[in-house]
Amino acid sequence: MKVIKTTKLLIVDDEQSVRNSLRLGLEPCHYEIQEASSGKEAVERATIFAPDLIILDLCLGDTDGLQVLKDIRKWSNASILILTVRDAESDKVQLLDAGADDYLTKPFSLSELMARLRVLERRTYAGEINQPIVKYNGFEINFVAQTVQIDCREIKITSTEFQLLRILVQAAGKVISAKALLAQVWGDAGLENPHYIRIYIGSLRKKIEKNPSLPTFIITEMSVGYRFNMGRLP
Amino acid sequence: MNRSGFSPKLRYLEHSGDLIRMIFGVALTTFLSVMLEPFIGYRAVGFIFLSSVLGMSFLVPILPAIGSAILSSLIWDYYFIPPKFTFHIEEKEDLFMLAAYFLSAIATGILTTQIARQKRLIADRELRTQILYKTAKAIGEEREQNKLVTIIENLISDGFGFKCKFHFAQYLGLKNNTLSFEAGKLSNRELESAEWSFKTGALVRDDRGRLTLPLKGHQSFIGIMLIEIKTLVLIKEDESLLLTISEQTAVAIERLNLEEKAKEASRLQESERLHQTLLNSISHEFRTPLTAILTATAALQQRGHGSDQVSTQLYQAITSAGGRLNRLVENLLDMSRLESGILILKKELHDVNDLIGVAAKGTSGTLCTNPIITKVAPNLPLIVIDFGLIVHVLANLILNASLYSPVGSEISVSAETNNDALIITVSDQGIGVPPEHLNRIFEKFYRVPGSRAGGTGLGLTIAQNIIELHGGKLIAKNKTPSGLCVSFSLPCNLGLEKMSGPL
Repeated sequence: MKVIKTTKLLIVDDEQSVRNSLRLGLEPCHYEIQEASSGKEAVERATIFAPDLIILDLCLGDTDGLQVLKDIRKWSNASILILTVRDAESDKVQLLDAGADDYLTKPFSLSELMARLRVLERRTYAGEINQPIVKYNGFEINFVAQTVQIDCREIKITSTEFQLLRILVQAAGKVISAKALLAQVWGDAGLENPHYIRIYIGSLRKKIEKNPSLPTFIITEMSVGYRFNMGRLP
Repeated sequence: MNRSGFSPKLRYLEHSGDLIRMIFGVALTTFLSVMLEPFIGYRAVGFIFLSSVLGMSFLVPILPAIGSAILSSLIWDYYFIPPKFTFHIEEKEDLFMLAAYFLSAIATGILTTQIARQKRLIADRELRTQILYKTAKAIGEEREQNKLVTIIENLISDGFGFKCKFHFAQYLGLKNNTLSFEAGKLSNRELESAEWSFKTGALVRDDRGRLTLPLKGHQSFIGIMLIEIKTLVLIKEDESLLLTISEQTAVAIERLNLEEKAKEASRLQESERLHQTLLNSISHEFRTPLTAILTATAALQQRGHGSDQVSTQLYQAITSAGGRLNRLVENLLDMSRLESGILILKKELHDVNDLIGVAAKGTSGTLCTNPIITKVAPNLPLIVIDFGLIVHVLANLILNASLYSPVGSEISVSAETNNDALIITVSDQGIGVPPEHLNRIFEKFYRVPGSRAGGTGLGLTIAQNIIELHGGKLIAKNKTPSGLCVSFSLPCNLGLEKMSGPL
């Protein structure tokens, strides 16, 4: 029997109908929910309520959601999921850089939102998996021995590929921006050559995915970055 | 332009009046002398002639003045000095008198002509200064290229009496040293001169007395100035004046062009910004209520309201209609973006596998329930594309395929290279498209009669637009025994095949 610990969730959206449906849809998942309808209120609520999770709509009446995100991120470790209608990719990268943990584009499905929240629930901001071995669906990575196995067969992997995979797996479920990956793996050279990441992700997929054209482990988040998909976390 | 503002240029205007004036003067003097001779004697008549020659040299240039001196002395000798009606001179005194009279006439003629020339030079200099001043003024004040050109053309024709015409090059090929003028505007000979003046940056004169001056700005070659001069003589000062005018005008025109370009660019930027803001706000206004509808539906279901079969079907109906509405608006907005021409491609190197993966993932689930199988040729090169847009194309094609495919049938996505192009093909096992409709399916809002509800009639049009923006082609073919096969090509540089990152 699993002990259910209530997670405090703050919903920030200027549309009451959206707030209501989100609250009513998420209540059965045992969240303790509070709402805020403006940027100012969001920052106040975040201080008083001290939520573990924040769902933040980017288009707020009074302030830019990005500013609210920055304000909250100054002191809070809460996981923040952004709701956006903007298609501009640069905005999404900017959001991740400013400390958002994930984002969803409206309209989204409730089940997708719940899945994302579950991933975020397991960690606080910047939290990583701290296990020597991670296994999922026939995939196994050993951070100590620096080996990767697919269906119990060890595969050959270069050190750069391993480094890339380690970053993705340790943040499993979370989007890592291509920029961050490039900077962590290649430094300045990576930032000047954004296609490096595509080449290496491509070759990693050829090694670990059953069909590199329809990947199930390393998911591309269009124009933003990559996410290591492990469904429910171990 | 006030023509009387310039005294007509003497140097290049006609001189035929001078000779007539001289002959007329001498004739008048002769007549006066015949009248007065009986009262004052033939020697005094000589002084009348001398005064007339002196007067003449002020009025006419040096050659007619000397002519009048010679003519006057001959007439005086012939008609007045005894013996009359012969050129013979009896008295030595008279001979000396004639010689002295002749010499003083010439000397005075030369001196006065010199003075007159000085005067004319000063006037010319003033005229040039005035032309230059008016050029500078026109360049400083005029904001329209056409008006400026007309003013300069008038300045030259008024100031010099030359016909002047500007010709602008269409292609500013400073780099590969080529010129291009509107066809038929310039003769071969004129083109040759233009070429030469463009290469040397100097004034070129052809054998018919026409001048070609280059219009060279700081950054580009703008064209030429063609001038028809009336004499074959062009003094140095005028040559350099014309060159100065052409240089100044070229720089001014170039500046005007740049100003125009800058204005155009900022106008474009502004309209692009407005358009983007409008599209974003439509997108926002539309998505917010849709999100509320879909979330509320999901919340109802989540809370276990109506878990019976009928309710589930109703929930599904709302969800799929919402999704369809979303796609329709998205497609309309995309169409508007594409048609406004403000779309700027963000091209980067991308992996073909990634492209297929993202498109397939985006359409999987409720939108497309058919299994997708992929056939991707090994070692495909990276391609330079706007990833988001091409994903959109591929997703549209997959969605289309699934709309017209039997439930559970496979949709195949394949990628291969053919010469210098990457070909991506989406094929289904559906009903295909009747041959007579095959070439119309890319038309806006066109839907094959009798096709299933769910499409917007925009997906293929958008796809075609995006592919054409990338320099590729989108084609649809029926498969045998059944099904439709839509493929698009993207130009790819095979040289990138071996491109790899650092280790």
